[in-house]
Amino acid sequence: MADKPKSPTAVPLPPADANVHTTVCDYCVVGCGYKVYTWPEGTQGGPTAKENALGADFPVQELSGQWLSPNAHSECMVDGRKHHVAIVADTDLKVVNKNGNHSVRGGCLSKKVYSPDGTTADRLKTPMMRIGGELKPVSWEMAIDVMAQVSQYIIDKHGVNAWGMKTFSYQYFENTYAISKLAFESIKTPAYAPHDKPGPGNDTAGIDDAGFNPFSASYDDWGKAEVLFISGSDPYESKTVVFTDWMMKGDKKIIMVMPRKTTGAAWAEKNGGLFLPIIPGTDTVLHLALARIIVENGWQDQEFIEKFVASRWEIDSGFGRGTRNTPWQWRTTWGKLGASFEQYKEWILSQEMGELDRAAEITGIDADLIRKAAEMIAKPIDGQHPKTSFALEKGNYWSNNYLNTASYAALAAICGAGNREGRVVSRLGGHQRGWMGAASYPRIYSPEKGPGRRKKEIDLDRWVEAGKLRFAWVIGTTWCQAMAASKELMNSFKAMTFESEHQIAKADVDHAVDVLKKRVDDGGMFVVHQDIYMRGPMGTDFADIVLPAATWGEEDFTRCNGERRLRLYSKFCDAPGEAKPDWWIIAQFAKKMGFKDYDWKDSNDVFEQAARFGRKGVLNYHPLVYYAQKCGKRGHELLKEMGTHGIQTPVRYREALTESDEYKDYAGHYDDPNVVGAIVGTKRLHDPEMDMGVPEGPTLHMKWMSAFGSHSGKAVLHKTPWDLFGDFYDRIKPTGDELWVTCGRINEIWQTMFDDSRRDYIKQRWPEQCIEIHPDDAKRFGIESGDEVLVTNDDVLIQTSGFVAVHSDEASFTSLEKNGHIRIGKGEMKAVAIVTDAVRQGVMWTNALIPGSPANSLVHRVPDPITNRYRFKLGKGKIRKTGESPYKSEFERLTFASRTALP
Amino acid sequence: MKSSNQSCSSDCVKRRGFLQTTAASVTMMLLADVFPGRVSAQDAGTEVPVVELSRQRIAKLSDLTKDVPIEFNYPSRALHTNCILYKLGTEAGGGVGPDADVVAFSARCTHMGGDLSQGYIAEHKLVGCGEHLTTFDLTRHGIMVAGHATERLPQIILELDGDEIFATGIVGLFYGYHQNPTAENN
Repeated sequence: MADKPKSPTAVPLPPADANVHTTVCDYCVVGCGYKVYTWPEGTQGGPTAKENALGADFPVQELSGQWLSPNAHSECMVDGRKHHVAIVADTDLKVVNKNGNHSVRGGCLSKKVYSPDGTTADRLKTPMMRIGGELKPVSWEMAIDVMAQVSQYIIDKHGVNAWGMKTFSYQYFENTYAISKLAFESIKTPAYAPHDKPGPGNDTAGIDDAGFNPFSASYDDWGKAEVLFISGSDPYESKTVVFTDWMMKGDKKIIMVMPRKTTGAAWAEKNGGLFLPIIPGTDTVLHLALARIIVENGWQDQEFIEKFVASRWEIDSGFGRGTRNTPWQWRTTWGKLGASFEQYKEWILSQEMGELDRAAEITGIDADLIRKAAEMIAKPIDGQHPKTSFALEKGNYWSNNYLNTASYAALAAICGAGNREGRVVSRLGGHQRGWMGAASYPRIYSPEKGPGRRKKEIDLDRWVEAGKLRFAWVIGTTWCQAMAASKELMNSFKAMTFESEHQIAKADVDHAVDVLKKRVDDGGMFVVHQDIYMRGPMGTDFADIVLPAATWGEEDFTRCNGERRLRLYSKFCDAPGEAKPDWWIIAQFAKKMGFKDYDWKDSNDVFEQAARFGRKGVLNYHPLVYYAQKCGKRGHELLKEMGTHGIQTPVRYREALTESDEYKDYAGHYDDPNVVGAIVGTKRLHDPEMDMGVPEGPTLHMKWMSAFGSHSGKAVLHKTPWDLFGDFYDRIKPTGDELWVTCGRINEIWQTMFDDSRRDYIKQRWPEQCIEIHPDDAKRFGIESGDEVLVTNDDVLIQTSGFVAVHSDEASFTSLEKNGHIRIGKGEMKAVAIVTDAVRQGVMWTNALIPGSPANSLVHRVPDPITNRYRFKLGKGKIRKTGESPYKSEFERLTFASRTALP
Repeated sequence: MKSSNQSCSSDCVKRRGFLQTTAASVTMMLLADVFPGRVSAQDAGTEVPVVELSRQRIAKLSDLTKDVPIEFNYPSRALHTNCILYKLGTEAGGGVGPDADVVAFSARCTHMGGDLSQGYIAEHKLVGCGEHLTTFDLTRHGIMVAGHATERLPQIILELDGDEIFATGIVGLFYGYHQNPTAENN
């Protein structure tokens, strides 16, 4: 047996004098508050409240949130000495996760902590260089020296576009500020992409163009809605506590749209809501059909539309001349999309795709269900419009990015959602919000241009495929597996690194620099991978230098959650070996390159400097730093005092707070009686009834705080013609023995399992990549639950060129194919089959991010031409049985039981 | 799946001997020894921690009806010691009886202690918690199927002696406890 489950029958308790820190879960967007207890090995507390730091009498009561489960305990190092660590949900918290509620991910946080004797012992501890084909420890000085010398050479000889970075966008403000300062301010390279997309820019452009900030809602709004229309996500599975503590509460109807039924969807159905099992990629058609039913019946919220939706004149005003260089301007004004309500109504009534029967055929959803959904979200009851909120996530915007998001936004707007309590439009989110940009992306240097004079952000994967990138600094992401056509991308990297004849042979700076210069001049690439664990293939096979990063719990960090709640993630233990926080590593490199202003002493220095650059954004915390200074404190210090409650950004400074206690208690506030003024958070964006007063001190009153984020401050409706997507969709639809392969998250697993693969408990539950298949399809291909299967796709479409478009139709898939910009590649993934009717017939579903068997291998690498976003959810493949897994005949690991069964 | 229909074997006697000398101690044991003759070959070498407790009579095998759970307390009547005996009608890991389908588990959800006594989902052989919808697979040693629990559902070790079903120990830690309760101190 490879994996031995360990489920201790006792757990040590923290003594009354244990160290106590506050933090926030490292994982999903919800950002639950936790308390961390550390105490020296050899000591422990007792079972009475006085004898332990939890203040709990053991055994604790049910639903008290006070239980310390064995998986919430581990070991760590504090100041070089071995300690126990226990991490439990903060039972005092009245926002986010209430009364100690938590997910399985957060409940097992302790098991991610570095312990020299535990399952996390393999953390990266020293910088390493690939010498003679093997990664060998080197000094920080040597690693940075080689990186700086070769970087300067590449920039001088091949240009800044050849020097690139691929990094997480969320792993704390301090780090992302340092990363963006280096990339965009110091180097000024456009060759940058965040972890989840091929280039910077909007995730949900159609929502943004409508004027809705994708994180404008508070969790309380989800709680106060009467109807929730959730597109492309089951928050129960992927942002658990926002569902269990907010959405499940009250008398509420929930509609979920996904190709696969999940626990939350089953619960929604059982409790008066609906589950709409959609064929992947057809959400736009569903939205058109719903909007058409609403308009035909006059169920739209006319009062809201008249007050808050832009007229034709309001759409056009201000955009009639100039370069129209920014995407949101051209998208909303090129006539084809932006529309007043009257124009929208006329358009939608003329769309064949929006006719109910046609829509039912395309989406695969019964016409009756579509009609019921339209009634539920919009039909007035006793003259009152239902309080409907609209939530979306990746199933929506990672299948048909622009049209799905724009049509969803229009549907929400005609239902009167977007700016009122319980009537909001937002993303649910994946990871937390931890990007704090130091400078704007240098779009002007980007090699990409859309039709007309519109510069576009880079597609970094295409740039790699084209052989243009000579230096790649990869931080905290499994680049190849996270991007489309993964296997083909691995091949591109392999050819430029591993297979190059120029390899470092000895631990000598001059030699290494010389070899790497030769490699990049010869069309190769120099790769640096910075992470907390060794990750393949980027670290194991491609990187010349691997750098060890310090992470959560090893440094004071900050970021916001899915309702913009800012908190301090406290340092409570030692980082392993010589591992350093990412901001420190960036600073060493920048200083070696001769760049100025990287002299940060600690992470608080970075936090305070970054504050000044986020002032116009929704994550603006500058007034908090200003107020901390007035109080004679450091920014991190004041935030630490605000504990797990924190404060919702944008933070506002006011001389006297006039907000209600309820508002202040929710959004967070800090009022030092010895200092003039106070700071308060912002609960909901776009809210015209928000009590803002006048801007005081450093406070900025941005338009989108009390109005929508469009030019006019009103919501903008968009027409979403199917022909912008239809040619691609028709090309990628499965034929013959092919089935759709779509993907998503599994509640028990976070991202690539970088922590979970070191948790016995989770490894036992999910020892391998699995794939769900409908019983009819399984029968057709002779597959049973527990069989080992191979899924292959020999028809993976890859856009290889076409960086510059001139004419308006040039970016369409038809034109790309006609002009020779598309090649066909291959992909495959291994998995264990789970036969279940939770997935639609014709669709297979798998975990999005298991690096050893990436679903993205089967996904086309042709981004949405309007937004450069991938259609990750629209893979396809043929499945065949290759054997039987051990799980078919054992009781210990994995289970094939239904995830939609409810008690 | 491999299993045999034997009732208490010489292995059980061996374990009881162990129990008598070291009351309520914790030990790592092979699953094959915990559930002798009642685990698949794949699982036999898996090590699990076991608390050996007093031997307590639970029910008569001949009184059980498929899919009708029976509640009992074990190893004492202390807080959260309520457990449930299930006759699943399907072979299960650690199951006793001729069909190896009789199992018992704690009746407290290992997420936040929700009551599982009304949570049996006969169709799927799961037990689920109404608080936050966590479900556990009763055929697979209480592994979590979906939800938020950070531990498997503690399984009660059963032995069959003729028609009598006995509980003899617990695999795992009961919700709410830092160490499992014992019969002696309650």
